[in-house]
Amino acid sequence: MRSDGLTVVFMLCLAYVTTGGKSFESTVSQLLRDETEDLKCFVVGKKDLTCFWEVEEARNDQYTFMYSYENEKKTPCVVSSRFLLASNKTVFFCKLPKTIFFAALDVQVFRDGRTLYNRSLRAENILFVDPPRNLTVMSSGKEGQLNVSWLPPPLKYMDDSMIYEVRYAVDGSHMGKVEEMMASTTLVLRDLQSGTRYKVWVRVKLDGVSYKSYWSSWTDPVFADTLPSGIDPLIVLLVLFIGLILCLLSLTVILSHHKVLLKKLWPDIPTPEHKFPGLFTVYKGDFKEWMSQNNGSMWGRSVHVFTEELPSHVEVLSEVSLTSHGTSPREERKPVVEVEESERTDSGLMGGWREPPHAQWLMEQLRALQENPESLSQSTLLQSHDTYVALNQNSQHVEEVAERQEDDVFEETLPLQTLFTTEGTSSLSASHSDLGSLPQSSGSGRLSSQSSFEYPNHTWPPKGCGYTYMAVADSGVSMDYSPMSSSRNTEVGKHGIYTNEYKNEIFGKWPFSSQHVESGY
Amino acid sequence: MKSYFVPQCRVDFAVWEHIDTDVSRFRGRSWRSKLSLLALSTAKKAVSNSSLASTLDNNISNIHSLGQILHSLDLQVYPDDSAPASSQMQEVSSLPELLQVRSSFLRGKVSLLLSAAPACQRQNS
Repeated sequence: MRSDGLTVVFMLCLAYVTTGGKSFESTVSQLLRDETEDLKCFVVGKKDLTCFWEVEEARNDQYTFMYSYENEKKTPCVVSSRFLLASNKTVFFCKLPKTIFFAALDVQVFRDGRTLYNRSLRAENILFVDPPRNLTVMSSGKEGQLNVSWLPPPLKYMDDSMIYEVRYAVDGSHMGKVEEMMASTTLVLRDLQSGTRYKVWVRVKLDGVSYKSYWSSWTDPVFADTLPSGIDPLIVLLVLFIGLILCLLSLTVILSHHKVLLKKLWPDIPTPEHKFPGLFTVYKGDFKEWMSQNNGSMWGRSVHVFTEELPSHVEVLSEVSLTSHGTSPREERKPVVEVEESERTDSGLMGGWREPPHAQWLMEQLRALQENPESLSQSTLLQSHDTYVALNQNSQHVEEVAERQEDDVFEETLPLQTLFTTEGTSSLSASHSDLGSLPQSSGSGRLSSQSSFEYPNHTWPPKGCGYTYMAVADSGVSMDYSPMSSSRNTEVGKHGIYTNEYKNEIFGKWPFSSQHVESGY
Repeated sequence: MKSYFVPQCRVDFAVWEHIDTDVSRFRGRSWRSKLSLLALSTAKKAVSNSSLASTLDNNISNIHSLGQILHSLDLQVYPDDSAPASSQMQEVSSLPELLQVRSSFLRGKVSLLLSAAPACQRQNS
């Protein structure tokens, strides 16, 4: 039993010495690096003051260590030695029996009677403190931040004199940063990388105002992870800012060219207003009224005007002068028509054709005819020459035509008279070839020419008046099928409608000069 | 420079924890100003630089003013010069010794006495 107790005590002492020895060796190792003096001394806690020196080769030298506080006598100290495994060196040391602060201390080392080291020091300036305790690193809840906290070493009366140094680095990296703290045991690490693992160390020393010390050893590293990063607000702001600038630029471009864009996307529906000045603005779309007011100025333009009446085809072959036929002066009042030359020869035609008189004269003639219809009593027989037909002066037929076209106002007064006669023939005949598209009534030759223009002032000639109409035939010289005429074909049905371009000097000032004249049968 | 008897500055922590802190605080408080005045006045006599002498005069004046304020509050007690020398006192005869004593006294005993005072304790949160 007694031997067991002694064994336990021995083991505890051995453990204590080992621990203390380990601590002593670490302290000595550190001071060997940090202290420049040959005779190195340090105070651990507030009671243990130790001085040591290093020897390259252990020999059997006799060392004497002497110390004295101010106003005291010199006192010897027992010298001990220890072999350091880490540095493979031997150190001699002496641990003073008492430690006095705020008093001067003189120490001396003698070797073989000769002074080896001599040093004057003060205990409050050579303190060696333990590293901080309970180092803790946690996330602060904010991106890129860590909270670090620790406890100071247990050193009474010296808590307010401590300063700390915190070192942190990314795990695996050798580059770190150091933060210094004064009399505070907490620190917030900022501007850290998000979602990264960090290592943190802390050490402490006394500030030197009342007490001065060496830096303690670093604590064991503590690892901690920062919060993962979300969307960098700076990047979000930059993206929004750039997007806003682009929108403003686009808006500026669109507003500056909005008219062009509108025309491209929604082109205006073309309207013929420019062709009919004042039709929609002055006359509110009343075409008849517009025509009546603009008859003189519009005839010079190439305007296609279509009437609702059945068009009639008129082709003027050539002009004719009434006086050339040797007729009565009344004949001069007959409508003289400028006839367009046909392709065929006109050998069968009556001679004496010449250029028609002035248009004004023709107008007068027409008026005269209106006033004196019997002037047309003389029939003028027209003989067709292959393609031309003499006009019918039968009033009955005229009435029929009038009935059919009663509501129409057409150029009955204007229709042209073309006197075509061939030798020996004085009958009415129709040209077959040219009227192939037209219905023919045998013998009647009910033909009426109709202008495509409406003259409200002109009405169908009354009964009994005989008109000599020019046979309307399609010479096939020129055809102009307008869209209206094509639709007319469907409406009219049996009636063929086609137009010929009408050219006539006499009608240079007439309404239908250079106009498309439609005729229908 | 003549010799002055000034208090000892040494602190043995093995003994310090067992001494009467009130008495020590009293003695420390009483010698705090006197040592400062003593050191500054002695230093002024030793310097030849006029600007340095002027600075020392300003410091002496400030300490006198602080002493009058503390005396009005019954906090300033000057030591009795007639008291016999004790083991707690030491003799100094030079300006460097006087300045060293003043520095050690303030860093050691005065600091320890102030850190132990209730007014200087950190409030536990």
